[in-house]
Amino acid sequence: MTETAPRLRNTLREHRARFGLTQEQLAALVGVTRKTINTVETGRFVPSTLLALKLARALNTSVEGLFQLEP
Amino acid sequence: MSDVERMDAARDRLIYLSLAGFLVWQAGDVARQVFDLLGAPRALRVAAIVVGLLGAVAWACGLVLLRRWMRRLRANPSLVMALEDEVVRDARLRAFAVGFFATIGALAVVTVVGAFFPFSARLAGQLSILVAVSVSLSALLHFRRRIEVD
Repeated sequence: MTETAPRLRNTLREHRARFGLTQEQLAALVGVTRKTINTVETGRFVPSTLLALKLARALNTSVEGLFQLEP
Repeated sequence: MSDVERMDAARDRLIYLSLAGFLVWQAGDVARQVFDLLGAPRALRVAAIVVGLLGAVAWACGLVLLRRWMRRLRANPSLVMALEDEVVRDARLRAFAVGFFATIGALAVVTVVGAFFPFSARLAGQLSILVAVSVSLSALLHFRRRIEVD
């Protein structure tokens, strides 16, 4: 049986919406470009631990609250 | 639009300008060398030189503007952090990898073709540099454009 690599799901968009932040505003809070927030939100880029921690802190949640492994 | 977004967009425009200038400059110079090899009419060689010079001027303008862009960046440490974030570094790394393999491919082609149709080492080197720079910059723009697709 072949084992497939687990995918990372995120709830960044939902958390961002809860705070009423645009991608650009969140980017400014964590010190990256808007494109970076966009690529993370759409799952095209898996952020480093450092960025994940910064995002979690900016959105007042935990890293596990933002990112989950898809079953 | 914030300073970060403005400078990010400006960087892309500068890369486009540098790439276009470099391609025209080198294409003109390579064309001149090929015309020399083929003994083409003088008018064609002069045209290739003029085209190459125009490209060189555009490339030089791109370099000057890029230096100004970098000076503005260095003046503001928070901009450095945002504009050199991990997605930007990832795109750059992947673009260099693509450029590296394209250069190896170009060198292989030049070596094989050179076995049948001998040409100068300068032309071979120039073609390799042309491929290395143009493919790396094109790949960088491609990866950065892909980032923008929502």
